[in-house]
Amino acid sequence: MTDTSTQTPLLQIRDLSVRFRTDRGHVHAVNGVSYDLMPNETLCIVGESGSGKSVHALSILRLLPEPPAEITSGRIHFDGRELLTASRQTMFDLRGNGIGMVFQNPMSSLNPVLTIGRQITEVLRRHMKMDGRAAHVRAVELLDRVRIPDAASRIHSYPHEFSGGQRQRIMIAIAIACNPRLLIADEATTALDVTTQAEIIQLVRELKDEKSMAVIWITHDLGVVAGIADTVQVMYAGAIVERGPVDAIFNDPRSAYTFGLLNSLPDVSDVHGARTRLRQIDGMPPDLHALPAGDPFAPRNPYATERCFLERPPLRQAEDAEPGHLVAAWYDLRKVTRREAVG
Amino acid sequence: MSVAAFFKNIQGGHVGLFVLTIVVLLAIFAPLVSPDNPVRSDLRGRLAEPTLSLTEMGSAPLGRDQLGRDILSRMIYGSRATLLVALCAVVVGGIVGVTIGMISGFSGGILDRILMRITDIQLAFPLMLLALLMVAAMGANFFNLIVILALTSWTRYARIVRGEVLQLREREFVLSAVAAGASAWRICVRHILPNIMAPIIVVATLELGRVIVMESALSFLGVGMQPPTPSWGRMLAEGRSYVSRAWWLAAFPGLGIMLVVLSINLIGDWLRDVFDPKR
Amino acid sequence: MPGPSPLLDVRNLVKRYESAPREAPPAVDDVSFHVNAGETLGLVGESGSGKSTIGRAICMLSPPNSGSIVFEGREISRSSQNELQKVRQRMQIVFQDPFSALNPRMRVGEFVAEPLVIHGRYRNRSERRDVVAEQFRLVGLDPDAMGRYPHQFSGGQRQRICIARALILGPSMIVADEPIAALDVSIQAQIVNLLADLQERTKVSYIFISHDLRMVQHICHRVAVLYRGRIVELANVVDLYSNPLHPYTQRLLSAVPIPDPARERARQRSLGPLSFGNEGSLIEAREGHFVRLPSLP
Repeated sequence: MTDTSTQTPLLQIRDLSVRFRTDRGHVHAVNGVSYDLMPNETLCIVGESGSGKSVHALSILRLLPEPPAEITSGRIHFDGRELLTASRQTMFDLRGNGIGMVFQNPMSSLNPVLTIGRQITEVLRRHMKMDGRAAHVRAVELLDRVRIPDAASRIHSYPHEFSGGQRQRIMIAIAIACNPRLLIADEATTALDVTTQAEIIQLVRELKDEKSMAVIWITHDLGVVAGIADTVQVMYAGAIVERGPVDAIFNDPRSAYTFGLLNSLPDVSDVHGARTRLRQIDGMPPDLHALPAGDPFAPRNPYATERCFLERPPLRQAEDAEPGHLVAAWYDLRKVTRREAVG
Repeated sequence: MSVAAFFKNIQGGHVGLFVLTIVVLLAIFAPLVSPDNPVRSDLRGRLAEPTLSLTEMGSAPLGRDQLGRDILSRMIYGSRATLLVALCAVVVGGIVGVTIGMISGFSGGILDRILMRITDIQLAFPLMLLALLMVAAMGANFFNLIVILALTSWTRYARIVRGEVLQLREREFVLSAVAAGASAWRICVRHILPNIMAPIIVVATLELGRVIVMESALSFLGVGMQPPTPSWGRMLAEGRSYVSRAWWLAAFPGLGIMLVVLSINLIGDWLRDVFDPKR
Repeated sequence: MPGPSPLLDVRNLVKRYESAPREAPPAVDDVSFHVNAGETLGLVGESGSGKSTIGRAICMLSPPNSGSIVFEGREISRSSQNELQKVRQRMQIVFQDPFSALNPRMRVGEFVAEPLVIHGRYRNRSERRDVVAEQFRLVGLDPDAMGRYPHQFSGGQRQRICIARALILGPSMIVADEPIAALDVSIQAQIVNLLADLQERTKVSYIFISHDLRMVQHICHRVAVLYRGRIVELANVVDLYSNPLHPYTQRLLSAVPIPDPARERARQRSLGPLSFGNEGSLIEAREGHFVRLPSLP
């Protein structure tokens, strides 16, 4: 990545909060999320179910059903436009050619009764104002680009005639059809086999460089993150708990949650040391109906201080860390883990 | 709780339950609550208009029919036959239909195919024609009417139950019961049945409404409840010829049927929610 | 075959689904392996490899078309209903999706107790309650939660409930079919640790079916790699991960993402060809390390 400090961000999110109305009151899914995304940057957002990672992405595209969802505060600035106050038409145009999105389950995103050619050309005709012939040629090119073999004839096939991995490739073809400046992939490889996942990741990496897109990759798999991220952002209970360059996050985590996640993975490099206990994070994610006043991770955090239970820590520059390495914590993880190592 | 809050918390099901309870109580205590003998005719009061004032023949707030019988009393007594027949028909049809649907869905194979073909044939047969034929063959009495109505009813349960069972059979908690060595009976009763109660109840309420209408239709055609036993359907049928001169003959039984069917459907919706353990 | 007779010995297992086209190869084709007492065997493979089908066939949830399954010295694929009931007390299964694995209309305490009821153990109600409460504690759940319904539990807790139920008859073998795939990362480690602890205590054997090669490496003693219904490689975990012989295993391992940015960047993925032959015969390349020789062109 080039020096980002002089560029203007492609996407700016400020203080975004989203909640859902339910029978039991409000679910606070996203709570005051702020960050910048630079052009051509790959941002990985890591979190578990209920962390708000998908909800916040859907609110960028205004794809959340409102109600029950409700964006209670925030600004989302994309490429010179404010999205939260944008008209339906603006959002519609933007979903086509500003931001492309790929979801976990390609089968539910594709229309089963239309050929994939029809589904790709429709996007091209509507958003790029292409005529039928040009759209067809372009669609074949796109399918070829995402490595669907024999694209010219497969374009007449229906979604069920493709494998899961191929369907996800088709979704990517549709998402990049109008040369978006941002691609959002929400658990796009979670349902796929590991070899297929590796191929899709490789493909997205190539496309990103080719098209100078920024990518927001949402996943729970830290292995995938290590492979593609420039910047990593860890979310918990609807808030960012840590954010920074990928190497800093993996090698020098400052949030106990990030640290716990990394530690809970089996160590694959140690082929002879199998069958040790994993270092698990105890407890369960918090109830989003009633978030505690303090750090929501505090009850599961062995390093939590008294202040963690009382007051929510702000996201701020971590001490003695790379610039841009932010953490929301009252404790200093380096000190407590060092003490642990000595003791 | 304030009055406003009370009304805010009322659900359709509560209203339905309230109305149905009143109707059922009236039916049970018919001899006590009806102002008149339902079969006593008095030609002096022929087609008397609904009125709240007392005449020499007694009160008739809903008017009198073509033989001068009190419509309110006839409706109260008529609800007995209508509700009892409908309820029995729905329960019998339900038991038969659920059993057949479960066997069909759970056993699969040839038995499933045979049972479903029978169901298809039954569904394809025009119900009204079937009912008329059966009445012609078996005669019209209370018991036969229940059998006929149940026969037109079980297929709907069977179809829906079979579909649900086919889905549930692949669910992992059912597989886990198989792996634990549970008998087919235990799996059906403990694991499948409780999970298909919601659709069964919905079908049952819809069927209850439909069966009441059908009983009325049969009575309307003269093959349902036989005179002099009053039923709402027969009252509706008899009132038909007078509808231009005396609207109340047909209007009140019709209104009664509508009210009861609506109440039952409201209760059905409400029960479905109540049975959902997530609430 | 090393040592005394194994706990489970599967020979030439074939399973063909009725719904599949006749000319299609069977979902499971001539699969043989064994599991020793107290051991964890991993079955890994991608979707369509037949790994779950094998698990279900062993538990006689969908009986195999041919082959033999000898469990605790008993041939179970041709055993009577009566004998099968005995087997069911000794072998249990845990499924992937903890949401559909619990009966939503049954209190979880009753759900865990059900195998006891089925097999007529602890007929005394309060005694049974105590056994179930003990089981709840064993898997790290609060026995006070026995009266609740499944929807009141999180995914990880539900999986604990399933494990409690599977273990309550004291089985010698548990087939765990993708037991952590549907769980959050921080919960996966909890469940894997729980399975390991329980094995240490009860000496139960696991067949651990998974597509997560990192977790398989962590928890299994031996691993069988499946490709299109056949075992292409079977070895102890150290040999398999440090010296994979079959090209499919190599491809699979090379695709596994490593949570380390520096290593990920340095990595050359050899994704290689998209399909492999799974014909040929399984030969023992080194002691205990079996590989299916790719057929010669």
